[in-house]
Amino acid sequence: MLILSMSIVIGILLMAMLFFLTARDWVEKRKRTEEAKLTEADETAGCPEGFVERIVSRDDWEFVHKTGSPGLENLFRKERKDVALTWVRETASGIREIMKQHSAYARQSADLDAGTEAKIMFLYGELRVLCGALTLLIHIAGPMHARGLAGYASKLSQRMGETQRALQAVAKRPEEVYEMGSR
Amino acid sequence: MFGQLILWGCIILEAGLLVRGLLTKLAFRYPVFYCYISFVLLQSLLRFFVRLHYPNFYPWAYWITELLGVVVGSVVVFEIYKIGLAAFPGTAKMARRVLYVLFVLAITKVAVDTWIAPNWHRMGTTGELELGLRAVQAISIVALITLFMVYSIRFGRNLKGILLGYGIFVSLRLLVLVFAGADTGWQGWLSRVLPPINSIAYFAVLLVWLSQLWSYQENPVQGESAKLEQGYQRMSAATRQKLRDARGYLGKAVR
Repeated sequence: MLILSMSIVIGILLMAMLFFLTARDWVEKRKRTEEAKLTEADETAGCPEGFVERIVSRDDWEFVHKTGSPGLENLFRKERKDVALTWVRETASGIREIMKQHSAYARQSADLDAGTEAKIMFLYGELRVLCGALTLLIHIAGPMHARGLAGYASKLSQRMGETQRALQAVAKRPEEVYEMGSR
Repeated sequence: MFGQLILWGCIILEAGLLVRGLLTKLAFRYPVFYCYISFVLLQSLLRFFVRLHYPNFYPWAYWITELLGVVVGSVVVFEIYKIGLAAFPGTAKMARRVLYVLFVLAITKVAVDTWIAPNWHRMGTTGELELGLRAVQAISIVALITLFMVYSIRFGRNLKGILLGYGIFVSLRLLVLVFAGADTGWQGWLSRVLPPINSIAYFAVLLVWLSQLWSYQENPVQGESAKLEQGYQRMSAATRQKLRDARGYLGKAVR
């Protein structure tokens, strides 16, 4: 019975994978069009210093609360939530970019190590789950209750940009990447 | 009548595929795949002949040719991997290991089943044997597609067509075999419905192959062939470090 159930799962999984494989070209074409709209600066600059701290700060919320206008409070909550969610989306996109660039360089390597690749894939999966959890937290509790976001956000965005540049340089100067990676 | 129409339609398409393969010289670029198509064509004709003149031997002829087809089909999977990953020696090495492990497992299972059940040639047991082998084929194709997707490896229309067609065929065949013995409830219904769907799907697969392999299309050149042999360990260490950093920051943010 177990073998039969597993066979059904494998058969359906294979069909789904074939579908994704067929859809990949279409999705990538669409992504390229979207990415073309972004400038190089937009991709790597991340949030300005202190920007995210401001977004999740309670000061603005308290100020709006004092006005006693429910409409304004709702609008403020909605705006802040949207901005926080955009931050998580950008962070996830930065993590995806790290993996994309790693894969692009790793596939050229003749001594690809399955163990190392598996560890990186696991770490990547974990981060994606974390981003999902953050999105959920912001949806449920709102950005003001996720104050821990502040301070880490801008640093993370900057690190993402740094990593992208480091990986781009790998083909030319692997030593430099090693130094950056071991920091 | 409809079954006969599909059967002869498939035979015509298989013959057409072979003729196009020879005309476009694709048969020399994908020799295993075209050997497989030749085998399937001969298999269909042989089964038809046996069914007509020696109906008592039909189950034997069916299962022996079916199992041979699974073996030749497994080599097609290796050909897809070999051509698709030709430009990526490291990735190819990794895929080769995975495929070898999977096929050694399958062969071991076949050997054990044969040893345990000496009358393994009986229809039911042979079906179970094919189910195991098809499951391994399906896992191998899933593993290959995962590799192609993770490393953003692109391939031309021809190879994609072979992979797509063979993948659809294997997944449907697997489902047909899973429900083959059932005769009650929804499983029984599936056991009656799936075989004709499988035949029609195979006809559709042949159409996909014919359209995708109508003419030769070179596999795309995959980026710059950077010399990363020495840099790989360092690069992967850097990636892991940065991902760990990101985890640390995100983790603190969640807390």
